[in-house]
Amino acid sequence: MIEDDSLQTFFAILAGVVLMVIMAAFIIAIVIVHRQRQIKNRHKIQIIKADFKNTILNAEKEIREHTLHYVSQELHDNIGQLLSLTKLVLNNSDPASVFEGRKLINQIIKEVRSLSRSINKDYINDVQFESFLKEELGKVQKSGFCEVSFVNEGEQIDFVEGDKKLVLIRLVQECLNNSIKHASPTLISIELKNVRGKLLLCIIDNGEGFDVTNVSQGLGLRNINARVEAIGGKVQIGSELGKGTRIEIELENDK
Amino acid sequence: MTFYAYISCIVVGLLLSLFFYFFKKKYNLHEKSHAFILFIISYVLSFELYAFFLVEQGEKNVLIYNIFFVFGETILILVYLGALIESKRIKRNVIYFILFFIAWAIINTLFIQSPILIFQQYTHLLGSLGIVIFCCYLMFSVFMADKYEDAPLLGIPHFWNIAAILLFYSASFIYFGSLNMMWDLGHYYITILASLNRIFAASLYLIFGFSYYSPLIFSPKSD
Repeated sequence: MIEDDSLQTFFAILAGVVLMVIMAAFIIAIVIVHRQRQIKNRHKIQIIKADFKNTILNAEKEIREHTLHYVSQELHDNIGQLLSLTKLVLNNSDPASVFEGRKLINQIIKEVRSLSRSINKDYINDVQFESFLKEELGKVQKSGFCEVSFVNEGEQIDFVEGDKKLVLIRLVQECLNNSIKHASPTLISIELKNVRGKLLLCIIDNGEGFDVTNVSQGLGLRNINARVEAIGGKVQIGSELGKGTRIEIELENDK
Repeated sequence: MTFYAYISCIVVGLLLSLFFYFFKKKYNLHEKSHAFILFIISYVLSFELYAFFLVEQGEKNVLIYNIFFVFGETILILVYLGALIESKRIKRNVIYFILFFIAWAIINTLFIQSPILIFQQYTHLLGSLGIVIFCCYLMFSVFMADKYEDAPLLGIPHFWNIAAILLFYSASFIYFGSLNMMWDLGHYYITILASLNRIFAASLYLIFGFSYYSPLIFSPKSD
């Protein structure tokens, strides 16, 4: 009888302990899996952060290169020409030529000031995004390459993260460069809409357009996609041969 | 484990839970469920003391355990688990289960096991099964969800509470069941099973009391 009792008690205890051990193993497994997921996620976040940093650094570098290229072009094509013209005019010592020379020198001073402003490293940080777009379009128009138009709707843009502005600026420069280099358009338009922290930027040209499925165009498009993704935005690129290109960038900019 | 040691553990759990009010203010912690867990510990302490008082008076206390432990505490634990579940569908299932459990408890009381004479093992079995299932669900889906992605699991009070409930209920229904099924067991062996049960129960209430300190102990310190 006592043996029976002890056997029954033993099995009852054993069953309880086995169940408890199973549940304890389940809990430990949950803790381990959760920990591993955390490590994986942290690793993923680190990679995303590194990618973002890389995008920003590249954007900064490319903006600098773009600015230097613009400055060199301006020095050669604009200021250089103006200085040569001034020299020619001032070769004559009559009062009319001196007056004309003064006028030219004043224009050169203006041009140099404007150039120096664009080289200033704080310029990109301080400039309003809308003003920057107008200036970039102004440069295109001034070069006589094509007509431009700028449409701005909604509230004034105040970027929560300065890095987003930097990447967008570089994207606009890249898109305008592509249009100028490859599309031969007669009109380039930029449409900007900022409503309740949602920003929509469209860069449109009526140039040659391209086949978006063509692999050779892929790298440039991938680059644009990657940059927009890095700042948490969405991009849509639409183009048709002979009908031009439309690039739409959508970005949340909540405060 | 003696009754006094068991009661002492519940009292320690209760005091730990009470002291948490001080830390709650000091560290600005917002744990809404803390008051509910404090209520459960006080509730358990009250009926355990009353059951002991009845035994001391030479009366049977099985009715008290059937009402307050098998029925009352199971529902309290299910309500606590239901409050932690975010999915509306599963929350609804918890409510359906509680209703089913109440219906089953009534049927068991009326037709199968008299609450005055015997520990209602069948009601307890269903309640434990439900609790274990919902605990497993919470462990698996809630703690693996994005909400707790960055938080260390050991620093979440609910994780400790659910783990303790899961361990207690997965083993206890076998021990409670054994007490009934092996009613003719010798006194010595019944004492062993009862003692084991008390150890698990004491651990449960101690963990209930301690769990709300876990964010202070296990969460990474932010500078």
